[in-house]
Amino acid sequence: MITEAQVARAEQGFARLRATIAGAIVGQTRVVEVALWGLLSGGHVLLEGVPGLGKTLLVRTLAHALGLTFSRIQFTPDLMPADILGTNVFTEGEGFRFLPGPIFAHIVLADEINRATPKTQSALLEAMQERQVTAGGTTHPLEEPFFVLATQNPIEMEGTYPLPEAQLDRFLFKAEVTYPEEKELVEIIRRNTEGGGIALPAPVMSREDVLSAREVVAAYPVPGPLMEYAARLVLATHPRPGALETVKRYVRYGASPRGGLALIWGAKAHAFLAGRHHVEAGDIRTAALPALVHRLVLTFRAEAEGITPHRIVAEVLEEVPAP
Amino acid sequence: MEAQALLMRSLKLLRLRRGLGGAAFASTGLLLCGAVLHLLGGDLPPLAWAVVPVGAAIGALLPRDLERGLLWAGRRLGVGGRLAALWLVLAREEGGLAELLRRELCETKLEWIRLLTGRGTAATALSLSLSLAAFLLLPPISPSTGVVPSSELKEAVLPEEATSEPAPETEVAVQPAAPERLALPEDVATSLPFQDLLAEIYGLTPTEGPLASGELTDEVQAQQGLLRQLAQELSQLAPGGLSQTEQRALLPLIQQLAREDLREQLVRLVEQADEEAAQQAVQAMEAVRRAEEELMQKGSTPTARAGKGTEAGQGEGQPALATASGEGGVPAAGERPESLGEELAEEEGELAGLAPGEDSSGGEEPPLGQATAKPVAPEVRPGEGGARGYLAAGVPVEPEGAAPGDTAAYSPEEAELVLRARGVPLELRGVVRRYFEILSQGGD
Repeated sequence: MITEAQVARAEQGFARLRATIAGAIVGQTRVVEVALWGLLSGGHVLLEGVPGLGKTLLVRTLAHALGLTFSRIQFTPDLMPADILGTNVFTEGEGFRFLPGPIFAHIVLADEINRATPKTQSALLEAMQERQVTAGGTTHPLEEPFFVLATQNPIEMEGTYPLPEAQLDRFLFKAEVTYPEEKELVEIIRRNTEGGGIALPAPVMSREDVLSAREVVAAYPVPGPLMEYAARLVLATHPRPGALETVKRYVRYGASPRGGLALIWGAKAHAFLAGRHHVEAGDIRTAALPALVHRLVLTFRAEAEGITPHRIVAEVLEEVPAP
Repeated sequence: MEAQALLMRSLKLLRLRRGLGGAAFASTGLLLCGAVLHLLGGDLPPLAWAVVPVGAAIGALLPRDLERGLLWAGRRLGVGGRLAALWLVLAREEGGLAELLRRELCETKLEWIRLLTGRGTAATALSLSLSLAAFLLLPPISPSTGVVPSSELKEAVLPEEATSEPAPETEVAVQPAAPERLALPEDVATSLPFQDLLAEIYGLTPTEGPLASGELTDEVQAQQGLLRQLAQELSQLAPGGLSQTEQRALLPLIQQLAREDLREQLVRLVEQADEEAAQQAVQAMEAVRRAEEELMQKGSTPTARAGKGTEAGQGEGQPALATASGEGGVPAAGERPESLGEELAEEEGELAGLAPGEDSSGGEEPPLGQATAKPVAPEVRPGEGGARGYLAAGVPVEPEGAAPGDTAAYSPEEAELVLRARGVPLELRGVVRRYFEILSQGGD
């Protein structure tokens, strides 16, 4: 049962966390917001953006501010699953023992995940979904909070392996890291070139605080009509009879049921971060893009005509009436 | 306020709103039905109004989606989804969140009346008002221009004698065409014959078309008053005749008489200035009044009886129709004035089987004041003698060019005009009219 004090502590803790991140990261408020949605809802976040936009800094700042363990995995084509998950090693006198990989951390940065081979990607994504690692017949659970932030370069490059749709679906949200504005860029340069550089923040929240905040967000009530609205939004992305002409024309596969879950989790987290204790339809609409865009599989015609999933989701939001 | 109390108040107001909506919906439907029935000439049965409380009860008690209702209520009250969220966390026994939500709700000034207002309420009130206006203001459609209630239709279709018999259902659905009103033939005057006859008695026969009915009545009344005044003046004369002053006083009144022959006789009598002459003048005027009375009596009789004119021709108490005249050229009581006598004598001749215009006395006009014995006219039966000729003349009950199946009809006044224009004698008009009435009803 959620208490008032628990709610208040969670709200205060995340207020401090946001302020701390804002002191370290210039701009990218939307990306930070979506990252916090993932943290609060227990999902994983895919960050898409070209190198050098502060994705790694964001994740490291978040981990430090939360006082959680952090590991970074730089995905390369020769990265093997054992390099991520860990492996059984033989030591004299002890026999085989499991040596945990970098995935055994609270916050994992999977950098440039699309550079690894599908086999390695699959190992990571399976661990993300199952929240456990099985090696040598032994299952090793991953300690909560287990939060993966993966980045991928949108520029198609040689030697990359785009994530298949089924694996993209494992990420609850997707955020796009965009180029900073001029003022933001000036501030970034100034912070990195003056003084001793960027200092990582001290922890402002504990692991328990994060788990408690997750409980609070999970307890947020969502009325039935809002659940139905989320379901209608998800179904509206499917090219079925009665769907929008744009959807029928440009979408090959619509969002999966995980899209509906992402909508509600995102709405709850957004309401919590907005200081409310209830969810509105506007929260669902706000969560729609990060929750749905990476779940749409577009047709070749859409790619040829430059139609993006963002446009599809925006049209769906316009057409589906809110309760 | 407790969280439960907040929710209960919201739910009660929502029920009230739905109840009002149900009642308004039922009322609107009922009023529209009533308006339609009113147009058709019917009325709503009193029991139908029971639909309104039933609609209210259905609206209030029908189970609805509470979360959706509370979501709507929260928006109306400006608290968003807090009411619905409060409902849910109370159901899950999430005390912390419930207290937070309750506090937020209590910090907001809730205008509960907003749950009973809004566009939906306005639309409901508008539809209710329009339906009420239609129910109250729409006039019923008349049977000739619209749908006729079956009860009225039955009365219209069935003859009076058959109303007690059960009518076949198909007969109710058939609406009979109203009898077509026919234009009178061109040779038929459009004024009423009774008034024309009255005008003739008083010498008011118009020379340029018929007078309007109102004007003619006024003229007749003026002549009547004049005659009464003259009769009163003459009856009050002192024995020994009229003085010159009295003569000068009477002459202007006499000159106002429209009837020329009467005027000349009265002038002549007044100039004689003796009591006997004065009495004769009074009797002459009395004869005119009696002629009027006789005419009015006949005019009020639906069918003139043949043979009555014969009795009048014997001079028995019917001065306007009498053919005898007193000696000395002064019309005695029971005698008729000359010009009026011409027409009436013509009618009497016709009764006796003579052609119109032929006098029964052999064409000689009896001198004024000379009593003349008139032959008794034979009894005239419908379809015999002169009456046959009048029937054969074809009283135009059926207009020229009319199709055989036409149900055209004349009004009684118009039929009277036609009969008169075709020269059918007064005594026979009822017979002729009755003849064609029998024919038109399928008789022979």
